[in-house]
This record gives sequence, structure tokens and C-alpha cells, in this order.
Amino acid sequence: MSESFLTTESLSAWVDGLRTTHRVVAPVRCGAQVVFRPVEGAAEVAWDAGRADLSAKEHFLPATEAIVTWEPTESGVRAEAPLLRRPQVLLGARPCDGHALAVMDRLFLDDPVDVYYAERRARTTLVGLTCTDGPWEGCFCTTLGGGPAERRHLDVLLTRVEDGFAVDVVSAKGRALVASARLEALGGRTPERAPCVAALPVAGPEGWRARFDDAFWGELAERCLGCRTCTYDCPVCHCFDVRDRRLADGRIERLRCWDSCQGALCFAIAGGHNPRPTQAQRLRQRFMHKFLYYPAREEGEALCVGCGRCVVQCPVNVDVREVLGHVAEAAR
Amino acid sequence: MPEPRPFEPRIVGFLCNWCSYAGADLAGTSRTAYPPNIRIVRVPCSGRVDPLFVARSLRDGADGVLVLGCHPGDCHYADGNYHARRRFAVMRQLLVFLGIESERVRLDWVSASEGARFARVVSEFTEAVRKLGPLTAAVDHTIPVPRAAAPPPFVADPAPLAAELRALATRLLAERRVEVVLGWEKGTVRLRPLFARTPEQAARLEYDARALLNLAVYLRGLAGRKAAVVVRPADMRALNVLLHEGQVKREDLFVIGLGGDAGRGPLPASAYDALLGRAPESIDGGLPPFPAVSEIESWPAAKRSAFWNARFESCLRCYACRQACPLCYCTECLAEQLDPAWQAIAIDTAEKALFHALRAFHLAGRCTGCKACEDACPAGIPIGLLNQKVAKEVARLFGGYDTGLDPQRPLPLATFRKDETFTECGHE
Repeated sequence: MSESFLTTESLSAWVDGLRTTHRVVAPVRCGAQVVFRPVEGAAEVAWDAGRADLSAKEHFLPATEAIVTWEPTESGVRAEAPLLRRPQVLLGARPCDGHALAVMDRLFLDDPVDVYYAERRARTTLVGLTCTDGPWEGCFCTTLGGGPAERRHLDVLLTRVEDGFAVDVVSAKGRALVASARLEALGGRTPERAPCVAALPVAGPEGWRARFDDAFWGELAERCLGCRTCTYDCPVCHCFDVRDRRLADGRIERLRCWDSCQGALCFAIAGGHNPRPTQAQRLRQRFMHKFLYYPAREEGEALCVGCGRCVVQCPVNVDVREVLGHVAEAAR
Repeated sequence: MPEPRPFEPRIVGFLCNWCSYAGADLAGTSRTAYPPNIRIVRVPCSGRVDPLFVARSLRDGADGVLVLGCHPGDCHYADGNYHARRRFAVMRQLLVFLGIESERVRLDWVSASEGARFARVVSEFTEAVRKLGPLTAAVDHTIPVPRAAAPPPFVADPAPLAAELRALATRLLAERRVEVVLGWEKGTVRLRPLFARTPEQAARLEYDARALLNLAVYLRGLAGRKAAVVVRPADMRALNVLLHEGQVKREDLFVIGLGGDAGRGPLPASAYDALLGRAPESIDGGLPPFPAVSEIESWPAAKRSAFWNARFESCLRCYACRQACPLCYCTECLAEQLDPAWQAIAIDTAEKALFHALRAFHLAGRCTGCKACEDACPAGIPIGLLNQKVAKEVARLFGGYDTGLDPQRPLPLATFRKDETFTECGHE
């Protein structure tokens, strides 16, 4: 529960101070988009920009990362794996952004631990912001067990009140971070309410299994363009590809880059075989992975947090909410 | 303090085996001195030099790229260098638009007997690049995207048009004249493509200014089935290119044209099976002016480069632009090809810039300005400006070519004239 308060000025001073010790990542306006980027100071942070167009995934599982770099030297070859050494703060994460990291933790922190992800995760403190300015088009976090004021997956949760923010310190990590902030007593200030979206019905595993051969996937795939927008703006889609490249200066990088189940060649294997040659199969895979396979392995946790980014960014309006509705209705 | 090492440009030279490589040999055997900065790649013909080679070299650390071939008329394969000349003229203008100085890229002719000329061309080129310094990759997010004034809506009052469309589609399906009608329906956040197969589904057809994309993109997937498709003027032109390239069969299609109140008028009524909305008054064959393109052209190279790098930095490499484009129909895109792998999987600015440059070039003389790519782009990248620049150059260089108007006319980069010359190639 919030019992502390930060004036807008104190918040800015705190953020500016954090910059000296932390890599501070926050939503910023960049061209036509709002994206999570490292900031130089509090002035850059777009607190009022609503849901960022891209998730904060980039700062835990970067779109492109050289996981090893080999450099020829006089005595042989030097290999280097760049891990995040500097502590990081993710500012302005929405409750669904925090939830998304908790969902990915299940995979990346499980044995074998992904050291690159784990290092970033361990060194990051999440300072969230309650969605008092939501919901936005496509939002359906309540369906996946989240909520616009859900504190569970964050370290600190800020909520707008008059003249500043109510501060809810959730974890020990959060407590350590706010030690440098000029907290005041919340007093009689009432935090703004965060409007909720009604939860949608979601089918159980049997419902999803029964829809495996549904003609619905083919109908949906007919208009699907097969681009990767939904998977790249998704906060929990985490497929990657690994390949080496040689740089002009002679070094060799082993790149880990985002990949997408929606790409026609994603499942291509040696010998020219492709186990999922049609877009219908690839679309089905995306939704089955999110709502059947992942929950089956991860104690019922879906690979979706209801952030709604794919809903608004899909060029042909493939809407995950309609998919959920179709499967739930068929299961009934 | 030690003297800073003077800048030594790295030059990649693609030399035709029959003339220019022999010319380089002659320079060598004659002991004619030329700068050692050039690294020579021997190719069978200047016509083999894919613009990809040039762009890839620049992205991989070359400071300049020189392509040398046989003099026009002397090609060992009769016309390889004529094709190279057209391609190069367009590509070089595109690279300049992207902020690469024109002096960094040059196509020229050196015969087997011109050892001295080879040495002179290489020396001139190397010195010009040396003056420019290394190719940099600055990024500037603060340069605003120049925007042309928003055009008036394509159709002022879309409701009657949508009603006409529903009536026609219902009739076509009821009379079994087509299997499917491709149009738009109301979606959850915007209008979206609809494949109507029954009169009941046809009743869901909608049309208004938010009908994005170009439905011609779906036609290859429906090959062999009788389909009706709703097209606006630019969509129809793209369909004409598809017909011209043999990707769809006209007899499989029932083309429903939409005439608009603004923008370029529809094609002659004979292009369509039905034309709804405004009837064509005149066919405007010329290219519209592209004020935003002109503005970018007026900037210094460094500003153009920083501007485009900022745009490409926002790119996700999601390929929505490519997937939404009716004319990007390769089954295996160069950007994803594994063997040879022309592009790294990196989602970094260099690879994304390369992808966009190649895509724009591959659409040279083919893009009809439907802007489906921009509609689909989740990052709001003004991809259309690249296509407009290329269209402008194609029209200027090859005589007012107007893409997609006449399905019989050869595509400009698939043909040539022996008597043409282009200073845009960078040669004398």
C-alpha cells in the first residue's frame, strides 16, 4: 500500500540522481513512437505518453546482441561475452510490463539459466506506473490475471496523485532504490483510480486442444500478411535465432537476434523441409504456444499479459481477443 | 604526440572480366602506377553487379565502390553493360538520397587496351573519396519528417460507394460469377481485409478512408480461383504490374475499380470489370510532384544520412512493409536468404538501412505509390519517400515512365536503349 509521496520535482531530482549510478530506461517519445530508451535525465521521460508502442523487452532480451565476440590478437584469439555490469532502472513500466518479465523469468531463469537475461534481470529495479491514464485500445490485462494497479511484479509502484505520485514500495530492491528519494508522507492525498477492463472468458487446455484442426486458423491466416509485428511488439514473445557474422575489422560476433514464428522460414530445417509451411499453421502455433503449451509447462501461466500492443499494431487487425473469444465459445 | 595516420580510403572495385580486368592487368604489366587503395573483385560482366554488391560493400566498411565494364557496344554478352547503366543510374541516385555522397559510387568504362585510363579513373576516384573522408553513420532523431500537405480524402462521402460495393458483391456471389470477393470489413480497431464467400458475408463489406493496404497482395494466394477484388487507382496500377509480370491471370479476376474524388484518377474504364464512384474524366499520366522528396534532396548529404539512419533505427525488421506489398512476392527474400547470406540476422541500423535500400531499388519502375508499406509499418517509417524518389528518377531518366498504366509496356529496368547515356552513373 502507498504511504509515501513524491512531488513531481522530487521525482525528477531522484531520477536525475539515479542517472549517476544506474542505466535509466524510461518511455520516451521518439519520432512517431513511444519507446523504452536509456535516458540522460528526468526531462526526457514521457510520463504522460500512455502505453509505450514497444514493450521493454529490448532491455532484457535485446533485438540484437553479440553474445560472444572473438577478436584475433597476436597471442591467439580473445573471446568476450558482454554482460550488463551497470545496475539498471526501468522507469514507467506498466503493471503488464512487470507481469511480462515474470512470465519470461519462468523460461529464462529456469535451468539452464540464460546468463545474459539473468544478469540484466538481477541488476534491474522496476519502478512501475499505475495505469490511471488507461485503458488503451486493445488492453485486456485483467483476462490474464493482471490489472491496471497490480503491484505484484514490480519493485516500486507509482500512482498519480495531485502534485505528484503516491509511492508504493513493493520489494526490498525497491526500498533500496527509493532510499535516495525525498519521500514525504502521503497524508490525505487520494491516489487516482485506474479504470479496469472486464475480463474475457478463456478456454481451458481441453478447449484449445479441441480447436487444433479448426477451420478458423485458415480463415484468420487468409488475411494475415505473415509479418512479424505481433511478435516483435509483444512483451513476452521471446524466440531468437543465433548466427555468426564477421565484422570489417576482423572480429567475429555470435549474434542472438529476435526471430518470429510468423516468418515463413522460421521453422525451415536442413534438407529443405518446413514442418509449418502454411501461415495458418504458424498463426495457430503462435496462439497455441501462448495459451496451451506455455501454460501446460508453467503452472498455468499464459504467454500473454494482455497489453494489447498486437491488437492495435497488426496491419490487418488479427485480434487476439477474438481468438480467445472464438476458442472459449467453441469450448462452451 | 604521434601524427594521426592519414585517412586511407578503402575502395572496392568490381571489374568486368573481359575488358576492365584486362585493362587493370595492362596497367600492371605496363608498370603504370595507381593508388593501392582499390581491392578488385573480378566479375563476368558489369551487368552481374547487383546493386546489392554496392550497398553491401558500403555497409561493410568500403568508403567507395567503383564498377568498371566494357564500353557500350563492346559487351562480351552483347548488352550486359546497357542493363548495368540503367540500374546504376537509379541506384546511385537512391544512395545519394540516403545520404551517401555521389563521389563514393561510380560506374565507368575501361577497355582491355586502356591501362592508362584504368590508372587515371582509379586515381581520380580514390582522391575524390579521400577528400570526403570515411563514411560515417550519424543518427539524428531531431530532424522532422518532411510531410506533404495531407491530401483531401480519396472519397468525400464513402457511404454510397460502400452500399454500391455490397450490392455488386452480393450479386457476383449469388450468381456464382466469382468464388470470393476481396474487400474490407469493420474490424475491432480499424477496417480490415475481408474475403467474402457468401452473400451474407458480402453484406459486411465496408469502405471508407480507413481502408488501408492494397488487396492485390492477396491475389497470388488465390491463383486459379475466380476472385473479385476492390482496387483504388494505385492498387490497380500495382495489379497491372502483377499482370505484366505474369503473377496473376486476368481471366481469374473480376476487378472492381473505385473512382475517387482526389488524387490520381482511375485508369481507363476498360481496365476494370466494374467501376464504382467517380467516372474518369481524364487520365493523368504524369507523376505527381513529391514536395517531401524535393525537400530531402535539398539537404546536405550528412543531414540526409543522419535523418534516414534515425528512421531506420526505429525499424523493427518486422517485414510488414514487404509483406503488405503486392509486388514484393519473392518466395525467398534476399534479406532472409541463407546461402549466400547477403544480410546478417542483426536487427541493427546498418542491416535495416540495407534492407530498405534494396527493397526500394527492387521496386524501381514497379512501385505504383499505393503506400500499403507505410500503412503496414508499425514504426511509422516514411518508406513511401524512398519509393517516390526512385519513381521520380525512373520517370526523369527513362522518359516519363508511368508505372502500371500500360501492362504491355516493358518495365524500365528490364529494357534499355543503346543510344542513352546517364551522367548519373558518375562517369565522364
